Amino acid sequence: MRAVGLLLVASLVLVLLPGLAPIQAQGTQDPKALAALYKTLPFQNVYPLPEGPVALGGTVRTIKIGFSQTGFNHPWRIEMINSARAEVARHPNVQIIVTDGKVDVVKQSGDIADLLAQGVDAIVMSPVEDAGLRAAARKAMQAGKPVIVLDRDVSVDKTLFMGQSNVTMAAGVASVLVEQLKKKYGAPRGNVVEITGLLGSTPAQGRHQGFESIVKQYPDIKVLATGDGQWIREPAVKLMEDWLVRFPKIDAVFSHAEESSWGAQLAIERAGRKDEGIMHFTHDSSNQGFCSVKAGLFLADGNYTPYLGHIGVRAALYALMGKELANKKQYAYGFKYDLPDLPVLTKANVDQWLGKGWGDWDRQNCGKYFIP
Amino acid sequence: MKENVLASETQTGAPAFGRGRSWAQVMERYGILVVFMLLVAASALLSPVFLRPANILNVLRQISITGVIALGMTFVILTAGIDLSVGSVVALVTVLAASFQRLGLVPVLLLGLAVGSAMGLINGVGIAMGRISPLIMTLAMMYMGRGLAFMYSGGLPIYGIRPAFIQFGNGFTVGIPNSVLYFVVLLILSIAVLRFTAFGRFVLAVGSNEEAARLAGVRVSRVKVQVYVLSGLFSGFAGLVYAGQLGIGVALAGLGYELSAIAAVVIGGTSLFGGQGSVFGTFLGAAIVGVTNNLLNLMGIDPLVQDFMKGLIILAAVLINRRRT
Amino acid sequence: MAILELHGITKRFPGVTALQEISFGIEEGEVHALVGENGAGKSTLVKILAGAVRPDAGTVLYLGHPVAFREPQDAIQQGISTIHQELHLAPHLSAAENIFLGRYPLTRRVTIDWPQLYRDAEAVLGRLGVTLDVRQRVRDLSIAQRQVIEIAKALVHESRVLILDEPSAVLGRHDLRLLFGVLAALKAHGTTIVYISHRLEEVFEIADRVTVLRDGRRVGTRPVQELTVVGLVQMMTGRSLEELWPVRQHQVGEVALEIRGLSRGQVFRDVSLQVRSGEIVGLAGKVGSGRTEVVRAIFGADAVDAGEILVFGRAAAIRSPWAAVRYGIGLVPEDRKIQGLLQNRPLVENISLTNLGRFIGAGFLRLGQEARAVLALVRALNIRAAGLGQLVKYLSGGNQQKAVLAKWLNSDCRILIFDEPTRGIDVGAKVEIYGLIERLAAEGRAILMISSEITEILGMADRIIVMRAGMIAGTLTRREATENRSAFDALLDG
Repeated sequence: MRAVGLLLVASLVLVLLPGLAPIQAQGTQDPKALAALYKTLPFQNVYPLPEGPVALGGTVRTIKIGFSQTGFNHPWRIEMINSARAEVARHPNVQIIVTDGKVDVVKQSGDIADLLAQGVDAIVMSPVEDAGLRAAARKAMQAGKPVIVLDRDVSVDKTLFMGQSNVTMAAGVASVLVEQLKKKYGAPRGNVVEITGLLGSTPAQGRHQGFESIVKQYPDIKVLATGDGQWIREPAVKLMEDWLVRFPKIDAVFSHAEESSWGAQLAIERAGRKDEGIMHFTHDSSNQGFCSVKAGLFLADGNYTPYLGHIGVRAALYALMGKELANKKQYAYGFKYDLPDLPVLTKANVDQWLGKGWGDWDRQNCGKYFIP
Repeated sequence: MKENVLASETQTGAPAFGRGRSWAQVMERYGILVVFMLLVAASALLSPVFLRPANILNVLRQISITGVIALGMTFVILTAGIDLSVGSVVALVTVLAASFQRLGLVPVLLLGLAVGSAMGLINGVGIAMGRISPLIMTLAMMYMGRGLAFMYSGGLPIYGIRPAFIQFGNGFTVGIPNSVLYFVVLLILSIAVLRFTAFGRFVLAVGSNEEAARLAGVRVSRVKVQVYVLSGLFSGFAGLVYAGQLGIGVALAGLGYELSAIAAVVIGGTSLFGGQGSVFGTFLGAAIVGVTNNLLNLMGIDPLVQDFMKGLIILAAVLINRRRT
Repeated sequence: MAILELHGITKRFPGVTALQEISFGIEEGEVHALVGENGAGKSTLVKILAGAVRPDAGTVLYLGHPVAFREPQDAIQQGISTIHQELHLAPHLSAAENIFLGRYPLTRRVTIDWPQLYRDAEAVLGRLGVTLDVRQRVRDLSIAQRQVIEIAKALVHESRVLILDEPSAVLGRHDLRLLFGVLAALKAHGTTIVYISHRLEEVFEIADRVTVLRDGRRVGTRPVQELTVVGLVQMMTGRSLEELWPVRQHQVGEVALEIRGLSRGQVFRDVSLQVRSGEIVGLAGKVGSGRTEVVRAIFGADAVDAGEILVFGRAAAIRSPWAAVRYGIGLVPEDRKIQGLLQNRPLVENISLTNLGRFIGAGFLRLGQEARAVLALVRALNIRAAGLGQLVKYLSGGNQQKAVLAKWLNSDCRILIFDEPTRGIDVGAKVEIYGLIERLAAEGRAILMISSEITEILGMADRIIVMRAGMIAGTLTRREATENRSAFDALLDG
């Protein structure tokens, strides 16, 4: 029994030991890191707000902003939180409470109710799904709190919705693909495979739609197969392995996510078919992805930035201060602000964007040919 | 039934072991093999490239990671337990393996195996001594393990796996992918352990009838702890191979692996009630799932339809291989 | 006149003829005992009378008319109620509700008239000569009281025939008094009672006539006055007593197992006993007297609060069955199915499990060596199986019990504890088991044997230790017990 006890203690230590590594589950909270991050953020000119305390009606009091995030399961989501924190860090009297929706409508609805119960002044949310969160958003509006919705919309009256279009972004990437095929064959033709994001998710649907809208115009561009890459690496490897066996000639891989593209490249390398020059077009706009663009691994990277958090926080503060939200458009469900598409990353513009994507990157090897 | 059948065997002097297996048992043992053969034959007919060596290696490689986990899971399920934490062990181990690359190949491998076994040990002690139901204990570990993986990685993928490690997970030895070799070695080892060691017998005894095993002098708690440690160890190893193969450590790794592993074990004919089943069956179960996935991709089945087809094929496999006892 | 008449009743199950051409009559108002060894066909016959099983051939005449019950409900409606060993009561309802289940008195046909219900229930129990609080929930009643509730239900259904299937198997002596009182009251009301048992003492106490079954055939039907215990045993077993018990050859040697002051909560207190090599010690006592609990504690299966166990004179720290096995102790448990065997594993694995170490070389099992050793045991014990690979669940009860025994011979234990070694097995296998136990003792093993069958204890044991209410009530030699049965009974009953 004693031996078992000792082993057990040893196990607990062993499992928890790597906790020496930085714990950053809710994104970084280090003020210096946040200040550095802020400098790289896009859209700083949207609803600009100077550094310093935010006064409401002439008085400075603590302002609490509730940030209901879809989930902490993807770095993209974490970076959105980081950008929100970067804005909050600039205003000493503003606090933020971030909740993890666990990619579950019920959980996120509960999160919003909890935030209201904690007496937040405004809600910024990025919903899992439209229908399931309408009631929660409506309740927040009824409580008289400004509701700012980011990335995916919720079909109820709200203060402001801000999002990028997956459709037009993917269409942009697909246009680069067409150009590259033209360059290769002198005419727009060739064999393409598509690795989608998680089947049924809104951004995957949008990106698929944007891709189709372009390639449909060229009858000689054949989409050989479409498979579910689930945004990540592992399924993409398996898909690509199977396709490489099935199709003798593949010109290009159109992927919804960088991780899936790298997975496809791993499979190609392993199958010994790296020299065929299969081209990769992808989306995500991470800094590491930009390095791959620089190195020519990706010929295009759709710039779908996670850095919306700071605009969301500013819009909420604007609403609280009673300031006009310029350029907002009224539509069926309150107001929205269409963020302009950021330019598609290619070798031509990658240098000016490197460092403005999300996430850390391998600075030493950036631009060298390697799969991270 | 009334006369002594053993008498005839006495005369030949041959031990009776292995003989006299009932017809139901024979079907039980070979039924799944028949299902597998049918599936392979169908695949060869439906896709001209299916039988190409490159594709066979693909399938083997694709099942190798969940296959290794399923081997450990087989022992757990044979004791009438379940281990839901395997996917989380994979996630945590990939994250740790990626973040501790600077330690060098062997220390990282040892760390991964140690962390996997440690999580298994906690599961085992909670189940055997804490009398927590395996479902609950490993469910808790599933959340805790993935939670730790998220905490350590901040939800971000960790890159920078070094070449030696990539070679370990993604390299080839005599033309065969390393991960396939590991799987085959562990498969043979697991078969040997279950069939030819006292531990294997204890596992079957505990799963068949815990109380009777205890009253026959089997240390039931110890056996239970051992199977969960084994499952953790195998999952940890799978995590290391994952990190080497994909070149990243990520908290999302191994999502849903517990179900894939359980599916392989159950399709392979091992009873969820314990005490009956085989490691080779698990291999066939994993292979059936792997071939199914591969076939659907080779046939260009719309991804929207694939899940449904996969479920259908699994159901068919289990029905054909139905326990006849 | 005969209220029930059976003519040529035959029932076959796959592989066995359970009943063959059974014919006899049951007179109205009598207590008719149906006796036989396990497997004699008693239960099948009961099921046919109760309408749960239909015979392949033959007819049952009830009140002179042939009947064919399609389901038990038919039998009950016509006035034949059966009390099974497992009672069919709703444990969370009150005694009164159970008695009148589905036939509650109503007030103006809407709500249950509770006061009336309780009065009626008390009246029914009164006819049986029993008083108890009818508002009590059934789960708070003793087993005997629950049986009475079942019988009261039968009374409410106006049953003319009441069949009781081994009611005493679950009762202690005191509870038996309650049951017999109720049966006497029923008899006085003119109810016919069919009483199934394999405890002969009871049969002599309450039955008017006895029908003996053996191997699916009727051996005879006699008025109880014409019978003796020995004669009845001979009818049941088909053997004389001399054939039943093995010739004694064992020699009593040194003390192998000694227990000092073993106690566990309210279950048993201050139990001390000795068993010598080559000695067979019987542990008698009613169900609930603590005898099974004591042997489980000796074997390390349950923890104790106090006491010492000595094996061959040395203190043994036995905290688990594993430790007990290492001290050379083996336990043939009460319930083979649940405790004794791995039902869905092969015979060979079951037998070798207790001592796999002897087959291991270089870390691996030597399957050939294992098979040879197990085969030798299988032959020595005459276990009938299709092969060593046969799953234990396909073996008959007697062969299963021999397989359990083989397990302990495999571990070469010096001390063997049997808990009800012949429960549920047929006479032939019983005789074989008795012979094996005798042989084990003759080889110098110490044997401690629990049995509810007093004839078995008297036939086998050198000494008999009687337990009552968790304590040792006394010890008798076989001669003392045989010659002075009343003293033995007094020890059992207190």
